[in-house]
Amino acid sequence: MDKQWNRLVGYFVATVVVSTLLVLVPNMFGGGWFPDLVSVEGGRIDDLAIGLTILSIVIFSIVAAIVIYCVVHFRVAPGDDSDGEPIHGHHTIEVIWTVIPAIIVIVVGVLSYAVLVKNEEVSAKEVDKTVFVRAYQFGWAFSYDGVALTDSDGEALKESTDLVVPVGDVTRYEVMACSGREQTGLCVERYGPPAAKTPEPNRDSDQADVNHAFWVPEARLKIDAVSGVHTWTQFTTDSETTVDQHMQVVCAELCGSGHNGMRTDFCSVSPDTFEWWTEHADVTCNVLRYFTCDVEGSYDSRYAAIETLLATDDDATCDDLEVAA
Amino acid sequence: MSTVTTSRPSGSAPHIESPEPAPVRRTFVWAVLGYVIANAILWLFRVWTGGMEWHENDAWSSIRDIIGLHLPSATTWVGAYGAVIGGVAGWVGWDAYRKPGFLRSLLGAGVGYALGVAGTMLIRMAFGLEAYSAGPCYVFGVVVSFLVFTIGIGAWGYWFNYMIGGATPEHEDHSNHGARRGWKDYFIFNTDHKVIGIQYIVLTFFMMLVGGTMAEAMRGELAQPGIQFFADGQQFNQAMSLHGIIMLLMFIIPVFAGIANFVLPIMIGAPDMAYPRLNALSFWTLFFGAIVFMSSIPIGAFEAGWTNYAPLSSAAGASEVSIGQLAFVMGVQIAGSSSILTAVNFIVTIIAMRAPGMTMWRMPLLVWANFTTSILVVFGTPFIAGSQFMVLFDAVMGTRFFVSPDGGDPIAYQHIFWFYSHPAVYIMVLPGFGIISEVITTHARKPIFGYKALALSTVAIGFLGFTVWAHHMFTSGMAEWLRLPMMITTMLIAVPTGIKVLGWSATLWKSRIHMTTAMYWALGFLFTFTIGGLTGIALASVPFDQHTQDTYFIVAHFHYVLFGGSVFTVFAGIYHWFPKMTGRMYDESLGRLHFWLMFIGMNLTFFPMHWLGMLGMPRRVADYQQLAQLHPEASNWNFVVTIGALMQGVGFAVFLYNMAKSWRSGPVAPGNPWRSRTLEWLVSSPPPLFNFVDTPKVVGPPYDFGVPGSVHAIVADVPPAHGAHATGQDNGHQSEH
Repeated sequence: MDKQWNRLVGYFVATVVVSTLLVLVPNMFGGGWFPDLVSVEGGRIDDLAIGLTILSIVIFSIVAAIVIYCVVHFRVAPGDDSDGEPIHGHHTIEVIWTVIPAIIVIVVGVLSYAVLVKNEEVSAKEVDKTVFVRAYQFGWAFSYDGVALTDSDGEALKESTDLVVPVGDVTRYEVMACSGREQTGLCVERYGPPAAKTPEPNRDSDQADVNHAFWVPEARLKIDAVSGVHTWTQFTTDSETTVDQHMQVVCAELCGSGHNGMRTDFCSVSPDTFEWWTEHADVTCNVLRYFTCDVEGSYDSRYAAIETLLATDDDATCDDLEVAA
Repeated sequence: MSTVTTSRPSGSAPHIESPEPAPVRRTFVWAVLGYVIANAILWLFRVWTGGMEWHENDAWSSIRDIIGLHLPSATTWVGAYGAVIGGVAGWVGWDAYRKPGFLRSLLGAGVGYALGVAGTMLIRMAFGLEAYSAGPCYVFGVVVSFLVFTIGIGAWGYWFNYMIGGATPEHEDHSNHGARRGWKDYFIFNTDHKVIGIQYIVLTFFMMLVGGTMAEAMRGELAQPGIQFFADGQQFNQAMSLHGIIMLLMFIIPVFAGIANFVLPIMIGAPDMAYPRLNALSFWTLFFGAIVFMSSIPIGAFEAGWTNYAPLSSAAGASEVSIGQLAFVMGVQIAGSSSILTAVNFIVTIIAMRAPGMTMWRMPLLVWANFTTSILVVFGTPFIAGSQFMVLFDAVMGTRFFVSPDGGDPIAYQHIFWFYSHPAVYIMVLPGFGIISEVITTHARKPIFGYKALALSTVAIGFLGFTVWAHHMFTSGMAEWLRLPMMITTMLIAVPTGIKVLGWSATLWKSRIHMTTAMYWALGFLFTFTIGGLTGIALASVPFDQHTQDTYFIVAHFHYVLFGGSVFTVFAGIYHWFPKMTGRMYDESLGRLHFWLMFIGMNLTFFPMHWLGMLGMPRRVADYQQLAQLHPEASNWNFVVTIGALMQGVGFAVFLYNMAKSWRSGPVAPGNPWRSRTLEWLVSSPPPLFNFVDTPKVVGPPYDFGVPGSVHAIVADVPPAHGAHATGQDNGHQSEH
């Protein structure tokens, strides 16, 4: 019995090693499991994912070790007519195998719920910033609660095409599916902000759009955009987007023939840069990233330098910018 | 089927034995005529609806319109249909369309569709509307087509005569029962559960080939970033939606119905299902569902995924809904009704048709599994029917169920849909659990570990299955409070599932494992299904799901559960019962080759999908150019996935070859090649017409391997002259013709 037990433990350890190596393949031959992490909330989700993976490896290895052990040691030749030991069951093992998984899943459930509650603890009224995210076939548009956007010529802009948020702000994303392209005001009036409650019935269905899903993989959070329904998610960015980072808002819910291309850029910028951007809201994330470079000068002069640089070299680095400046 | 003796009264089929040469010329003439007539009808219809006109000064153009040289798509398909109808008539004579059967139903499907469309147009004209409207005409065309199709196959004759008080000679007429004349018996309204089982299995594997082709096409597209294989995202979405719904509703669910159809009545000692005619109607209903899904391919298939989320599927308010989208709705209704009819039949059969002594606690676990599954089907399927009716009404009748500006709620669709479709994943895997129990206990020659725990955990999974549907909707914007209870119930399902995994692995302990192909699949299942189950627990965790929902992680998870789970069990079952169904043994080495190609290919395909999903690749995308720019490794993983998919394709080809070759010319199978103990193995291979000469007597539990003196059932031997009795203890029992 002891010998059997030792062997079984050996199989288990071997399976743990092999399956750990397998799940770590992306870390050995790629950039790891996840894209860059840019949100505080996402960090908790990553920790949870690692915990779940370890748990999965242990449980898988128990099952795999038993099965492999049995196949190796209890296999018989085709002509063998003998029967196995007539064991019909074992109450203790069955009870243990029921109670322990029940405890495990309840612990996992409680931990998951704790993460969920922590990630959503800031209420809608207490968040630092609210962004209205409008999804339509096939694109994104963003407006900011209490912030008037203007483009570089000083003309009022209802929505921006890139999602730009100030770093460190607890930002709530009020998401809507609404295709009234030129009618942002109407969409926000009808579907948000939260105080607006139920949308007014309207026979004109132009504003309805199919379902989309707002997802920033680097922030790890996602929520569907559903016309007429008030949905939201919130996260807090923890770093400014640098030149070698490129992040996108991705549509994750099948929305038609252009679904795969329904993406736009996302970046997190310093509060000062955000302040400047609200008056230059047609400037894209691709440009804003270069404000993290260590270059002297006013925003407007740096902006001019970046524009000049990007006109000739769209892969420019901070060094290039310093040289140019 | 060479073991079947063909003893027919002389003279009943004169033209088969006659030495007349094949009527090649007549076939050709009628095929051409059929092509022209079918296209002419289509042309008349188009002239009527204003899509075409008679060219006054250019008769040649009009003739080209009629014979279909202008419009390739619809004209070609309708013409091909006419050519088949005409060609068959030329070959065997028009009389073939007079008697009930496959040919008449084929003709009926087309005629019925034309009648339905014409009737709808007449009614619309009577009310002063424009005669043709795509939505209503298609829907009523399909409904009438279905009715005439089933009349054509001969489904209603007995019931109709009985209803009007006419003579019902069919009641004692068993000529449409059993496979006695070879392959032709598979193309009639046959009421033998064994014939119907094989009809199901052949049809569903054909549909799996279709769905698999779609999958290979998608993998071809996704092997590299950019659009190469398909014309655009729309075409990709069509292939993706077809793959999903065909694999689920046309393969996994009905193939289990097919296996159980063949095996289950014999297992419980019954001569047939409780309602043989209803059983045949279920199959032919499914067959018509297959026609509906397949016919949507040339007209532009549905493209809203197998989940068919509204309002994308109902296109309410945005644009005209396509006929392809309606094909999804109609196909689901038809396949769903087939599923319900089968389930009712199984429930009654299991409750009422068990042999004396077959108590609930003596039922083989496959019977428990199908009992629970059938109950799930009966309770659940009306919900998907309801959700698709609402989509249909929104699309065709202008209702506003899911149109939010008018007070509709798109999230309501998801609740109704998943209330069926989550239990549906148990409908797709519980019968597989039953198969695994049978296979492991038989090929490991040991009693199943914890019989009652396994039986009751099946019921528990079935019950819990109805309490977890909203875990598909954690990020849908549904009521936030629902997330916690749904997370907890979802995780709790791991407990009865864990009991099952324990039961199977503990059965292997101190057993005598025979590594037959069926056993390979069963053991492979334990690995892949465990992986799928564990990612299921991870996905039940709301925060983790918020990142991975709607990504390739989900695709990986449900393929591990549905492919590594359900499909592996289907293969285990097919290999296990192949000798019983066909009377022949399959080739073990080809079977093992099939297993290893599929097992390795499957893991190569689906394991890297976890990484793709976590990295940020959404599901259902035709292209991942931008993802590959951010993360170059995404291209590498996708390439590996495509290699794996190709390996699986090769494996499937090996499987088809093995099945075809072994069915034709494999070694003759004994009655009980695995020395199993359940009733289906105690009769000949294939079993006699009504399964048993005398009703068998069940006297003990089903899986008492190695228990001295234990007997499961007593079966009167087939040639009564022997006077001997075969019992479960008598392992060498064989009865061949």
